[in-house]
Amino acid sequence: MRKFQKIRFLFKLAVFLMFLAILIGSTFTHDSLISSTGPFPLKGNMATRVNDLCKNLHKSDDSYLQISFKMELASMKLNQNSFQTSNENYGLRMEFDSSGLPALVYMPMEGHLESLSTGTPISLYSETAVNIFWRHNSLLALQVGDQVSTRNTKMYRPLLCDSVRTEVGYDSSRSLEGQIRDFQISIKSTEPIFQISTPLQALLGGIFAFVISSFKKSRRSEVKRGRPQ
Amino acid sequence: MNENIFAKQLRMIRRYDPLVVYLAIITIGHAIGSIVGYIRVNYLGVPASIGQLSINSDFPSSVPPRFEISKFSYGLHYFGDFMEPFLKSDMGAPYATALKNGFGVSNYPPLGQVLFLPFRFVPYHLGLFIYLFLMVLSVIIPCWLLTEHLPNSKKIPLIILGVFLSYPLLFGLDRGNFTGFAVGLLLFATWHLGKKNFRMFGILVAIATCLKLTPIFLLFVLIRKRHWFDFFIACLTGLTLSIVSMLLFDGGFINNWKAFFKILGSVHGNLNGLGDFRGINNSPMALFQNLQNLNFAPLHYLGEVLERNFIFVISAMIVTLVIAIIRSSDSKESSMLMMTGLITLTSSVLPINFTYGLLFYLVPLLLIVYFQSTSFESYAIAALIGLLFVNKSSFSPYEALITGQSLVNPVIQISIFLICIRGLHRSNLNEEFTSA
Repeated sequence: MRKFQKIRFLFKLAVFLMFLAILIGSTFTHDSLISSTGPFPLKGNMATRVNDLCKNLHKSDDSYLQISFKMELASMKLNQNSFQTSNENYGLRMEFDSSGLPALVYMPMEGHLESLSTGTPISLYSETAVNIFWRHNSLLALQVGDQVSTRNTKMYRPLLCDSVRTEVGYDSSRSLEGQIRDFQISIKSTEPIFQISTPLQALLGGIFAFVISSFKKSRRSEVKRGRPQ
Repeated sequence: MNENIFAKQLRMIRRYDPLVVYLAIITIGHAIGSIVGYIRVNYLGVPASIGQLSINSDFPSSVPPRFEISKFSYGLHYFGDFMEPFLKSDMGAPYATALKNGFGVSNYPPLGQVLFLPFRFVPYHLGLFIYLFLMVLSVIIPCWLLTEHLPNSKKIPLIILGVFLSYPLLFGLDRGNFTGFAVGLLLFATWHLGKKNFRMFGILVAIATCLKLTPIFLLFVLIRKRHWFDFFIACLTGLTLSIVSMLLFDGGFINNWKAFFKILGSVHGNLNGLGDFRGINNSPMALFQNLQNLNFAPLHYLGEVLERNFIFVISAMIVTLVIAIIRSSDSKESSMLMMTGLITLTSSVLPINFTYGLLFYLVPLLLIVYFQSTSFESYAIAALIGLLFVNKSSFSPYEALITGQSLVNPVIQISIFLICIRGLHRSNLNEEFTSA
């Protein structure tokens, strides 16, 4: 009898751990690369290259566009001799000219601007990903860093990357010349460790509840067996 | 010693019926909420939070561009949930065609959209007045019927304080949302259930389902009671109403249905990135999302797991309740718990449930009053519904994602659900003991 109880306890534990593993496995995600282009130097309009990649975006749910680049400055002309280390005026501005859904994404750059005064080459870099959340071919949100901007009102309309315009933005009091290197655009997909479809999730939930309720039944039988005569 | 104090307090509470407990909580809650809200806005100058009444938070988002919405406003207020479907019904094609055009898309079921058609024949502002007046009547009249046995000293405070001034109804009126009509139908259905008129119960639940979809769970009552023919009539009513309603719209019958389900999938299917709703959402989804905002790693991961597996959670809730109902005894108490559990599903099953959706909890409250139930579960459910109906947005920071209501209300709803499950299992055990 005791052995039977032990087996039943182990069975309950195994079922519970199995469901726990499924739930955790379907929650935590990893990024998988779908396609990428570059590195290449930034010259003129990059619409063609980006458009080719954007077309692939529609093929996968939960895919997002990740852009990373480095910029090497050949020269920098300043109206003033010294300046702050502030990076906020420098960055890559991307304008998605989509049908009905324009979105301006500004990627701030980081770098060590102090070294300009010494005349040595400078690297500015940005690893900020522009995450575009997709679900069923609909744009859900644009994410730059931690900021999420939603497009609630037009969420039914897919973002069509007809053309993409990029430019290096900077303070009007300064002029900047240089070359962006290692410009890389990739499409990644966020995938859970276990992919569980919605119907399967519903089925598993039902089975879990059924198993738990069966335990309740056995407890009730115990109560019934032990009731006072 | 502690047990004695607890028992003494329980005895003291039991001198009053659950209705009095509910009224006491809602009255005190309203008073505190109003005072806190007044001090915040007028003394401290903090703007009203997003879930609060009478602010310009109902700005219509997807009105067709050809309408000038300022013509339909009342100062800064729009009664947006009336205005939007009203204008969309004027277009005649709020599903397939609107989806193709990218504006004027309706996520209301066909009968819900048809509801707004008659108001096109009267001036807009008169139509709005009639609409709100009818909505209040559709809630108050069945409440009056369900409390016929009560003395006026209890009935009138319940109708005025407990129903008309309850926060979900006021919020629904403020937004012009038609949930009140669906709740009214369910209350009429409950009255018929009390009279054991199962056919009328099924028909009214079917009509409410055509308006809001989620009341479909209440049809399980007919399955449990094995009224198969009444269940068939209810299904036939629902299907007929939905089909006829959809035929009234342009865009093609099949295309409209396809578009409607696509719209439903887009709106309710997922919430990733749509963080703006978290502060005013009452669904368990709001709790799961807000757990991730708390600066405590285990709760963060728990919230993430539960959010990702929302369908798993809802499915588990449905199966647990169905099993408990099947095993429960056939008593009034079980009927009350069964209806309460099904209403909890009605309110929790979607990832978005705004405050007016909580009005569905009037059904179990009125059922407790109607059956004059005095069990532990009745007291607990009445008290929790009282807490649920209190305005908690006064206690929330302005535009905060984690608000009092979005953390507390889902917890209250889950508690009500667990109490129902416990009560249903207990009713079964009691029956086995008494029959043994």
